[in-house]
Amino acid sequence: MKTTLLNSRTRQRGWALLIVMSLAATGLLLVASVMNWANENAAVTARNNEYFVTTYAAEAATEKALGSIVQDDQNYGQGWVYTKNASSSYNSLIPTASDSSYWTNYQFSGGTNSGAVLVECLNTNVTNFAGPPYSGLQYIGYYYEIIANAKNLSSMYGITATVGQQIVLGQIPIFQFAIFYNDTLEIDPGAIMNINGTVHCNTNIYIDPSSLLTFSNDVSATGTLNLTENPLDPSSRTTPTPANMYVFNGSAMANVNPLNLPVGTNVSCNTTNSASAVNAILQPPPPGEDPGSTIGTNRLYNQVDLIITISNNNVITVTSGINEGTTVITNNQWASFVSTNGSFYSMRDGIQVDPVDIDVGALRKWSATNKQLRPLLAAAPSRSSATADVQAIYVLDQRFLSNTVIITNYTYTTNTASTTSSNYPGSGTYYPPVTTNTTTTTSSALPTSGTYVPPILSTNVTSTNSTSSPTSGTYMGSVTTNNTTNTSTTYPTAGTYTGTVTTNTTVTTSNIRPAAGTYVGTITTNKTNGVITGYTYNLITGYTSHYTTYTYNLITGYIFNGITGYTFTGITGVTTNTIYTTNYVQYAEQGIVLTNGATLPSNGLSVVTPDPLYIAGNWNVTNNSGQGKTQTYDVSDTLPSAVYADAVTILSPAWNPNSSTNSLTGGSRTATPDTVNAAILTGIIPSNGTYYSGGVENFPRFQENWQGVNLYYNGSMVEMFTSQIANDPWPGTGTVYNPPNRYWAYDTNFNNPSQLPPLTPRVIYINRSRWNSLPPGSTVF
Amino acid sequence: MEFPAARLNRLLIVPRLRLFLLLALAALGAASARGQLEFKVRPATEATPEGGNVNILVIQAGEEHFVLQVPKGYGAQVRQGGQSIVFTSQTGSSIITVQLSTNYAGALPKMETLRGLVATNHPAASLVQTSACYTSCGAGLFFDLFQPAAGNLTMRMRDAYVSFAEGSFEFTLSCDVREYDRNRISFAWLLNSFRLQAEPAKKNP
Repeated sequence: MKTTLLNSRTRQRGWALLIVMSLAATGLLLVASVMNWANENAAVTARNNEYFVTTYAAEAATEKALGSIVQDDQNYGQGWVYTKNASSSYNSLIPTASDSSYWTNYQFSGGTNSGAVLVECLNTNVTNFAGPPYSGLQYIGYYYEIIANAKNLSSMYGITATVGQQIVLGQIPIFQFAIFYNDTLEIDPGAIMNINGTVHCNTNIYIDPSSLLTFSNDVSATGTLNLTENPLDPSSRTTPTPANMYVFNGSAMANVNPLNLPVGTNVSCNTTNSASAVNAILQPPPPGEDPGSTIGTNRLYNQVDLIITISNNNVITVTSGINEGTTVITNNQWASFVSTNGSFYSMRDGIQVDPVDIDVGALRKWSATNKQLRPLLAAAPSRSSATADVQAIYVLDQRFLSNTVIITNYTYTTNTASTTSSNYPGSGTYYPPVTTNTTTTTSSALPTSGTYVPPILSTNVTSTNSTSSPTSGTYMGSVTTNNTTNTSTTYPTAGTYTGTVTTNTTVTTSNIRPAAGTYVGTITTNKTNGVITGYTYNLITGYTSHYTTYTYNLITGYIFNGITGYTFTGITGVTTNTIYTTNYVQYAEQGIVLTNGATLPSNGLSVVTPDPLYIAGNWNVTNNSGQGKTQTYDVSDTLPSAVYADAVTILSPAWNPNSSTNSLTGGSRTATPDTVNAAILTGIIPSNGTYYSGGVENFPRFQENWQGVNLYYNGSMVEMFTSQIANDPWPGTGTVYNPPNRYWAYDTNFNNPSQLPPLTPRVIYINRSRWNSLPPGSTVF
Repeated sequence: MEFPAARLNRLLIVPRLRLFLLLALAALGAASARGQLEFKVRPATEATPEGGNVNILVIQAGEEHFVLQVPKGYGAQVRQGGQSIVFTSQTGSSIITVQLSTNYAGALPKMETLRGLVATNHPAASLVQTSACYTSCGAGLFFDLFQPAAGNLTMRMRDAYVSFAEGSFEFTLSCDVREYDRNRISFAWLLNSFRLQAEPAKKNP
């Protein structure tokens, strides 16, 4: 049956079609699925990318506000930032088109506030411990939180990303460092030295001691930390430093962040305090400066209890410090503790010092009983009747002590001529330098000293053979002796021999009497029974002679740079139309001398001055109960104390101003054991290639012979600038002073914030504590 | 009431007396200057506590022996005939001269007298300041002078005198006024270091 057969074939063809169509549909579905997957994947990636980019934009917004906060903190301190933030000054700091056109694509917000970031102060005055390299130091911190949202306006996804950062604006009391240097720090002591506190330098540290130097705590440098001598130190030291000469018991780190004072005068210096900016905290404010201004708040002048001013005409004025100097202390009050009658000579600066003497013992007594200042201090913020004693004084000497010579209507004609003379010109007859003229000279004689410029260029010689030995100085090198011996039957002719001729003989007996000249000596006549039997004599058999010569290099002359004269700018005459008349100004230097300071006022004492300062005798060794110790590291009976000055010199209890000009070793400038317990903030004269700074070992200056004498110093040594007034470099030892036996230590009382010296400055310690990516719109971490 | 004759006498005689005294003083100075002390200088080094070795000069002046530290950055040249030592800075811009003389043995003249002599010795210079100066073997006097030089340059000098039993030393710093502050320190150090040698050198038997 055909029909059945045909239907069967048709049915088979449909299956094939169906199968093909099914496969095609499946393939299409597969392709569609893959494409959909790929599309969704690309979208997720794009969203992801946009999210990250937007997160970076949000971070940029937080960074802009944070950067401004850090900058303000560096320049003006925590208080300024806090006040500025309270008026929402940082919130508006978002990236804008003026920063880059890129930011026009973004919208920024903080929390729900558009066009602003969120800046919040979370905590103030939180005390915490810093980590390395400042382990153990306590900082007082303000905690800030900055949160920013960012949204890309040109994106199809419209993602909002949020970033939050937390930062601590900390401040470390500078006297918590055993040693703090703003400029190059050198430590090269000759004797064993232990440093029992933290050390930091805002530039480079150079360590090259000649005896063991031990650092018990962390050491850090913003620049480099070198175990060599400073390239600008002209001394000859063993460098690099031998490994057995130093020990670091804490961390030793270089390239750390600088620690700056928030001095308002360094606005142009973002990273490091300039020396002049830091020195400004010691200077009095210029007329009209607001004590509440950013600079004014940092000046120590505006923070003290008592201000002592000596005017140009030597008028002493003592005023209160806390109410802008409006309370004048009467003469009969301050006369017991202020005096300007003294005088001594500073061997280091080579200059007379007309000092302001402060009798601290008398100040203490006056402070405890006076009726003028105590009530003011008791009523001052954060003070009470228990803390009404003077804690900080400022001393300013404004006397005109300069030797500046002012020449008016001064014109002159100077007649000079280039002059050549055979003699060196006399002092005052020429203008340096002097050129020494020379010519290459040959002379048979050695030139005398002063007639030539050494060395002798060359010495001419000729090889010589002579029968006589040369005398010393007439030849160079060695002398060769030539010897020849001749024996002849005839006597040698003259000139063929040197020295003596030996006559050789033989005893001969002959029956014939020898002829004259054939024998030497006498003839013995032999006889037998009276009959001559012969003659016995010394018959000459010959002559032995020597010929000796000497070979050597005979000096025939010298070649040298003979001095022919000197050429210089000779002063032939001067015509002036002004006769100089001056008053022979006596040049003296300012100086604040603190005496009788064994016991300080009851709350301690800080002394501030822009002038050089001298501490004479024991300082701060007895507490209010009269208990005290000297010659010890024990600081349990001391009070908080610091001195802030252009330079600080320690004078022993034996110091006598009248002996200041005597010879160091004569006995009258010999120091006696001394104890000083105070932090010191001052300046140095840095090494400059010609002079060594003196190093930390000479941080306090000396004027006496301390050799073998103990000096106990417990405190903190802070160098912040180059000394402006006592600006002569370290003089070396032997003439101005000899060093003491240094018993120096960090005063561990300063670890306790309540025992820090009055007016202790604080350096900025910024710590980024947290960074988080937050849910959009977050207002807290 | 002074009689006219006495007044005339005083006016005529007193200036003459002053002139005579000045001439006598000058003659005395000249006479004493003619003699010469034994002058020997030898270089040496000296160890200082923590200061390393420093170069010194030991000066024999008559019966006395003095010590001077050579200032850093200076070279020393002894002028035996002139009885002086010349310290020249490395840059050549500054010179310090130490001159021995038999003048002012035992004590310096009064400041006013010495100032007049200094002014005479430097007629082209302006004497602007005087002061005591101190060395490790006693006090002396110094005088600051300005002297115009070539072009617009001005030379500044500090002329110091220190007396000892048999004579005196004159220390003179001469330099460009702009270099003065730097060189003044070297000069001060030189004076600080000037002292009598603790143990006089033993003479050969």
